[in-house]
Parts: sequence; C-alpha cells; structure tokens
Amino acid sequence: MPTHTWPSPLFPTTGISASYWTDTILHDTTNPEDSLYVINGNLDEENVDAGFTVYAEHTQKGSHVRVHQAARTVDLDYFDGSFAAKSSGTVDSDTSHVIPGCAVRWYQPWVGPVLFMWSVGWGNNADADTEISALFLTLDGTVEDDTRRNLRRSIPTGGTIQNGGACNRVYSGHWFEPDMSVGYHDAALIVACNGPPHTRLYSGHIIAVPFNVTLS
Amino acid sequence: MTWNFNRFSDGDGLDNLSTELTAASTWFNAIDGDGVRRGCFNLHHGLDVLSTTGTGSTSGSTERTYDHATFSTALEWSGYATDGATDAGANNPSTFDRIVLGHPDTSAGATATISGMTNRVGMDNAASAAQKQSCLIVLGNVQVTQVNVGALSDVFVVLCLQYRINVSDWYTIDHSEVHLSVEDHIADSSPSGYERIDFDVPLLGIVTPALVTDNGDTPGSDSVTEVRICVSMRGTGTFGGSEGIRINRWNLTAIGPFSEDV
Repeated sequence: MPTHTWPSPLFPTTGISASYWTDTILHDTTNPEDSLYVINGNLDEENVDAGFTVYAEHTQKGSHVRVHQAARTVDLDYFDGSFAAKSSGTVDSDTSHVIPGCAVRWYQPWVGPVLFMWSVGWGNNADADTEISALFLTLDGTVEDDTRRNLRRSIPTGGTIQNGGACNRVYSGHWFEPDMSVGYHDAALIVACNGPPHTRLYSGHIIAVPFNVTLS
Repeated sequence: MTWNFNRFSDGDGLDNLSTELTAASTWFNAIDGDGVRRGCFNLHHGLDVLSTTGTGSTSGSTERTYDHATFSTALEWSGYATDGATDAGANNPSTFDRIVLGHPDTSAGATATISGMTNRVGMDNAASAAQKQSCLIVLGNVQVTQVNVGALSDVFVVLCLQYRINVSDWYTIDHSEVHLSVEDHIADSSPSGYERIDFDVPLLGIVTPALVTDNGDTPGSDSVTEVRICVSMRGTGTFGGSEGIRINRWNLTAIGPFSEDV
C-alpha cells in the first residue's frame, strides 16, 4: 500500500485546547472522519493508490458471502395416502412434506439478499391428466408459489393415459430473496401430490448463498 | 519496523502529537500490501461482489401460450449462411438451425420474449464495469408445460438468455441456449395436440466484457441494461397452424458485477 491518505484535516494544529481534541475529536464516535477511525483499521478505497488491487487475502473469510447446503442420495417414496388433504393447489402442513436433505436452517448475520439453488430428481406414475406431483420452495414456512413445478405423465389434454411407465424429471431451480432479516431462517423444498399413487424423489440438494450487500 | 503510539491526555502539547503522527504516517506508508491486516477492506469492498445496480430478479406463474404465429413470421429471414445454416424461407422451419443463437441486431429472429421475463439489471455503472473487469451471472428457470408439434416432426423447444446494450440492441448469450426435444419427453413418442411435457429447463449464462466486445460493443462505455429469456421452436416440416408452446412459471435472476480476475 504505497501511499496512505490521511483524513484531512486529521487534527487542528492551533487554537483548540487539548481537551477538545481528546474528548471531541479522538473519541467522537459520531464524526469518525476526524478521529483515529482510519488508523484503527477502517480503511477504504480513499486510503489507497488507484492502482492498488484488493485481493481475497485482504478480506476475511465469510465477510462477503456465505454458503449453506444440504444434500442426500437416498430415494424417497411417497404414496397417495401420505398426503391427507390431497390438494395440490393448496399447500399446507396437511398436504405436503419437507424433503429430507433438501432443507437448510442457517443464521443470517446481516440484512441482505440470499440466492437459493437446488436440484431434485423426481418421478411419478400418474394415470390421469389431473394427477399431479408438485415441488415448491418454502422460506420460513411460506410457500413461494412461483417456484412450483408440476409433474404429470404425457397425456394429451383431455385425453387418457397412452401407456404405462413413470415420468421422471429433474428440477434444477433457483430463487432470489432480496431482503432477508438477521436471525435464523429455514429454506426447504416440499413435495405435495394430488392423485398419483406413487411419487419418488431421487438424489437432491439445496444451497443458500447469503450476500453481504444492500440492494437499492 | 515498529512504532509505539503514545497515548495522549489533557495537557499534552500539540507539537508532541504532530511528531507522533508524522512517525505514524511514515510507518504506515512503508508497509506494503502484505502488511495489511486481513479484513481491513471488508467494509468498502464487499459492495463490489454484488452491486446495487447489478442485481435483479423476477418470477411469474401465469401460463402463456406462444403459437405458431409467434414464430412463423419471424422465420421469414435469410442469413446465417456463414454459420452453417441456410435461408429458412417463409414459414419453413426445416432448413435452419441456430434460430435463437445468432445476432438479433441483424435479424428479427424467431424468438419471443417471455412475458414478465425482461429484467433491468446489469452494468449501469460502465466505468466500474471496465475497471473491475466485472461480469454478470444470469440464472433462469422455465417450465415448458405443453407443446403442440402440429404438422412438424423432430420438434425442439429452444430457450436462451439474452442481454441488452444501452436499452437498445439485444444479444444472445450463446452458451445459454438449450434445445429440448419434444418427442423424447412424451410417453409414446407420437405427439397429438398439446402434449404435456412438464419439463423444467434451467438456464445459466455469464455476460463478460469479452462477450460484449465480441458483439461489437465496448464494455468500458456501453452498459448491459437488461436481460431476458427467449423461446423459440424448431423442427422439420412446414407450419400447419396448430403449433405452439405453453410455458408456466419462471424465474429470472441476474447478479453482479462479479470480478473476473480475482
């Protein structure tokens, strides 16, 4: 760091009593630019040459971004009776299940945006056009409806099932929550079904990435 | 090199303070980057990871239908011969490829902007983008619910990400293009009317200064102002009038600028 620029003026040189700058300037927490705020380590781009490059080693690990994740490999089978209300359009605790290994709980250390990414393999053996398996993201128990994905077998609209076999897909989704508060939060993928006798979930994971910034 | 900063108290002279500060300044300026305390730039350089003008997200849950008319008119262009394709001809999707991939500034392109999926984001701060060699990461999710292949065969739904320069020309992020086979994702491989696909397509793209340069713009002065997801259809045959794509639920997010060289 070749050239350091002090706050200007750092201290008055005449006409001010010593008690003034010890009590007011040095220790005035409301006016840090005139105190030892900079000396004490609060450097910013004003204190370095234009050509000085800030590399990763100049920042603390976890100060800009953090990552939390959960994952699993085991297959999970859900049958029609697993969902008491059997309503894919209304998702609540009676009609859905949190997917094990696709849920994270983390401490949000700052107010800021969080990016969620996930991937789940899934399939069902629906035998009617109205039989649906559905996946959603929930944040602190609230369903984010735009993340919903429905799964049906290949059936012409209004038609009948053409042949047997299951329909398998992969849902690799994302969600950007712009303003999450400080504290503990939960993000979970949930599965709900309406009709398919059997819904199977394959390997899956979820990742939460909190960014330490303020969006405007 | 060490420096012991003397504490001050009432009654100390200003000359003593000046002497101490001169010594402090000399000591501080002598250290190099290696002497900087880890974390000392936390407060002010975290913002470069994700700027206030570089991030946006949108989503929706309304089912949209894009029928053959959306694409057939736009297919009536000639060009792309140098890319290995030939003139598509009117309403004939059989002889072209790369209908999304390409340069929309030279052709209308057979694409449709999915409603609600244009998002103003990006490198509004052009100077910052140039200095930091920043890039924009774009994430997209689209669920293709149903497709009617109509009179076509070997039908693919084509999706891609595009970015806009200075609220003017749109460009495709080439590597984001995805071709989804219809026949491969229905039960009997014999489409009839609108067939359910229920296929979620993830899209991922990155807008770099090099990509902006390749498309004829200048990263240091031209800003990436918007991103969007486009959809198209390709196949063999001639449009019969019933072809269409239905899309429901999408998510589009762009975050940046990220630094490329750190």
